[in-house]
Amino acid sequence: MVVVVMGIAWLAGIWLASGLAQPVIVWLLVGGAGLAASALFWKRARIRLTLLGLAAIGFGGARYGTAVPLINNSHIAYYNDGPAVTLTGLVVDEPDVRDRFVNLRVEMESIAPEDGPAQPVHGTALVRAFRYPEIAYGMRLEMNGRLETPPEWEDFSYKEYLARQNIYSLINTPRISIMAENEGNPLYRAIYAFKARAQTTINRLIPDPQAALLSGILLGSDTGIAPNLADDFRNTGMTHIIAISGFNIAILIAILVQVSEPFLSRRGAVGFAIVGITLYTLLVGADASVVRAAIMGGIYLVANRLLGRPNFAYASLFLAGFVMTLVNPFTLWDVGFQLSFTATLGLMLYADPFTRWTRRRLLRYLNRKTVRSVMGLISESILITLAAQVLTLPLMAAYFGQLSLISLPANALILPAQPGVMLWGGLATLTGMAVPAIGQIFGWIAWLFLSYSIGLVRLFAAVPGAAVPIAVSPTGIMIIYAAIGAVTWLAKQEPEQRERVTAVLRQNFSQRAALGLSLLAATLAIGWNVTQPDGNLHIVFIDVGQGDATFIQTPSGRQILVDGGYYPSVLNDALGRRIPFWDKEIDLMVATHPDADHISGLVGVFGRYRVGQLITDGQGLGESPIYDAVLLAAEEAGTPIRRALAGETIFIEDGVRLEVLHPGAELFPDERNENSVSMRLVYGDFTYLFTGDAEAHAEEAMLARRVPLDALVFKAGHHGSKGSSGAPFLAAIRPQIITISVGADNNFGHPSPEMLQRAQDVGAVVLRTDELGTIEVVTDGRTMWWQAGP
Amino acid sequence: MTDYFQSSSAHWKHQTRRLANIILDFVFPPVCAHCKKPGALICSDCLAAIPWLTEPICSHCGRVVSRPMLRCAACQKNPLFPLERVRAATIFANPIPDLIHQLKYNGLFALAEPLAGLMVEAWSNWKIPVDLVVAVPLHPDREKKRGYNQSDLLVTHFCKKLNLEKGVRALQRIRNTPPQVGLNASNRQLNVANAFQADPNQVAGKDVVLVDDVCTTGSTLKAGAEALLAAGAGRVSGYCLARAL
Repeated sequence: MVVVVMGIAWLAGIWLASGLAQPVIVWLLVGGAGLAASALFWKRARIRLTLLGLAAIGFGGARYGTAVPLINNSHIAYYNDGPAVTLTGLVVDEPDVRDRFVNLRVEMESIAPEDGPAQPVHGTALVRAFRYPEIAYGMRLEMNGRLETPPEWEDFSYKEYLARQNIYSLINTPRISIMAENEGNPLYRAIYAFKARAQTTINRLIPDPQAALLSGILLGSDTGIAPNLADDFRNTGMTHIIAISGFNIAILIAILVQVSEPFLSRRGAVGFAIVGITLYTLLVGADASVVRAAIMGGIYLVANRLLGRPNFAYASLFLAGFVMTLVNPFTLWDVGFQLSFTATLGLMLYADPFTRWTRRRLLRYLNRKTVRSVMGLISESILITLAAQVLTLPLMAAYFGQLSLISLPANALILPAQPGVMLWGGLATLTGMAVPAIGQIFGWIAWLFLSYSIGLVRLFAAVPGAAVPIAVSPTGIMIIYAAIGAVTWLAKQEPEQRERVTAVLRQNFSQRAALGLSLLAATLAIGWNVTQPDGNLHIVFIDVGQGDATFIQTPSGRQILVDGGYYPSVLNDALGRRIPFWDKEIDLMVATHPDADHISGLVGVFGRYRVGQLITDGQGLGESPIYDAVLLAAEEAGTPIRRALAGETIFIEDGVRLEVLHPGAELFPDERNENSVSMRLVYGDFTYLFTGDAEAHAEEAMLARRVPLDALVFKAGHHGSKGSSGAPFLAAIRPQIITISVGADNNFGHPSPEMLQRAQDVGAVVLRTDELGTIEVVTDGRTMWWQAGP
Repeated sequence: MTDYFQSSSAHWKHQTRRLANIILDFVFPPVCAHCKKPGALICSDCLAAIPWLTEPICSHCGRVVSRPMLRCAACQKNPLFPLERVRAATIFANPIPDLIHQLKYNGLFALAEPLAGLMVEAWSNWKIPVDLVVAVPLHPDREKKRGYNQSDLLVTHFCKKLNLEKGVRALQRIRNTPPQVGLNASNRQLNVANAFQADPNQVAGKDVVLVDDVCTTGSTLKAGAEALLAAGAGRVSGYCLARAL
């Protein structure tokens, strides 16, 4: 028990020190005095415990005091908000890749003012860079830009958030040159290389958004999850399944011990498992929740398997909290740490009492056998969830400003699928890295579990009132916790300990295997049938915000992608939902022109699908970093690249043909938009025309070629800009429907009122993605209809 | 001089171990293996509830009987000969079965020390002739899988506290037999027949106490005793942590 009391006191000391600005020496004196006095009263257990607690408060405060760095002219923060400087430094963490940027942690080594000599500095800065050229862990960079103090907003202080990770400076999109690579820690390099391979494998085997979810669950990288899906997870209170936590670690420990036991001694198996979880923790990025779980897992292994003692879960929880805040006291303010800590504590405190209470209640009305089966059904999903939420709900309400009412049923139905996700997803990834064909089979099974999870999250998120906004003040939180604490204290006159957590985490798969397998086969068959091509031509204008992405599926199931929008996660999500899960083929990809809002999303497609051919406007390397990345990705994937040339026709076997209208042999110099690839699709009586970002010049050129331009559906050029879709051009097309792919409230004023007027004059119906979301036009070659939806 | 050094180094070894235990107890606080109350591996409540084996018992096999007798009905039918006698510290009733289960199957081998303490406490009740204490061995395969032999751990702590001599591999299992659990008496005897071999150098001419965690029908002890006697042991008795009825 001593360790629990001291652990609480230590955390309290850190928290007190953040409020009471006392010199470190004062805290040390408190700690020393407490320790000395406890030695004097060693025989009186109660007094000794109190004094040891006091000592822990003192030392906790002292640790906080020593954690705030001294900022002088050898620390980079000293140069914040000054003029532009040239810095060199090493990328010391895995780059955090977002849709449009990467965040790099760079340990700075030298600083040089404009035309001044370089001098050594220390300190880590967060560098926000463009996604391309790609930057990896262990690269040494030279950066030219301004060091900034991280901003503070009304409801969130980015400055404090970063300070907790010992970062006091930001650099926004500096000019970067790579001076060296493959530096840094070789172990980390190896781990990150492994992770990158695992990520590639996942993307290849499983479509998005399932792949993005699996990456979050297995590899701890949740950045691929499209924003609207992330919102759904938040509103249903299911975010915790994306993050790696005790659940994963417990399963990993069980697997490692099982695997190693036949070969190694008892001690050897413990060592093997500890090395395994350490490597895994580093692999997934060592988030607070993972580190907490890993430390507790390590303690369990040592206590139970090495010392042969029962595990005292409370002690290991507070020991983990102590170790983590000893290394970095600011961890105490980490939201992930707080949630994972309180959830675990809640499980320990309430899981057993809830279960026993419910069983007693049920026994009053039902016989023993029925009660046992009912308990088996509800205990793990509902009661355990409730226990974990007792202490996390107030925090969640405070941080997210909302309370998810639907979270209980959502957890009850979704949690049971998670071991399946981890098991099959892990198997798929590991075997897929060695033997892709076998990995693919496991991948489909994992896909099923993932689809189930995502489908239910979507379903629950759509329930009206799933999440209600709520505002709780910090004092309110304190009062709520005080009340919970008081009730708990009363209910536990005799505190009891349990290894419930570990018990919960050991699930028994075997019983469900038989049922699961048959369900699996049935669902895969149904899934395969549903996603079979339906004999119609589909043109999907994907809602990618401000940008363009059109996905075309021909009657026999050929797949064409025209542009990919700005956000890879949104594109991958949309493609994953439209392309059958077993289909890895995109027959034709068109990059209309090198603008980022059209082609950023395309790079990642090469890692997920085999692309038969890439058609471009004929620009070479050097047009833009993102365009270079597309060309290089195609080259690496072995996809042939062809330049579109007006007058050519691409025949697709099932009666669909694509007539290339633009560009001609000569490109317009320095007019990227005007060289956009433009094509007219013909299928039976149906015709569709797209022109990328083409404006007046290109339109004139197309009119001058005197080829048929008429089209039932026309995707407005350049997101409906003022200079595109001129009256003569529209007159030649005579469209019934004009679609405009455009982001709501964009900075460009697209679509322009003039263009909308011209569309009205020609008598066309205008469908906009900013109003309707994703728009799908379907035709059988004689009639056509359209629908909008997610 | 040598004496001083030896006792001094032993003293320091002892002190170091004590300190290590304090630190271990701090980092991995002991909790009761049965009721999970923190404080000790077997808490005071559970200790108070230990069902000690007390008279009247069968003077041969140690079973609880309703009045004192030389041989109980079971012994008359199926004597435990050549065992001198069988005694135990406790009867196999709550919380003992759970504690033994934790010790054997849940990996909580740290329980061996307090459980051996129970055997020490009851030892003086039975006046068993003893020169050497020997544990019922596990087959090496099973011992490797479990990582330890619970009976051997019991003997180690038992001998240390009572300052008795412990046999080191004095009795070995030469045949891997399935666990006795779930077998009836005659099958148990068949199961362990000729499974053991004893080391004459250690046991010849000595009164041996054979230790096991639980004694149910006594078949295992009997087979061990046969091997010990064949190797020239004097009298062989059985002493267990718990006597099942």
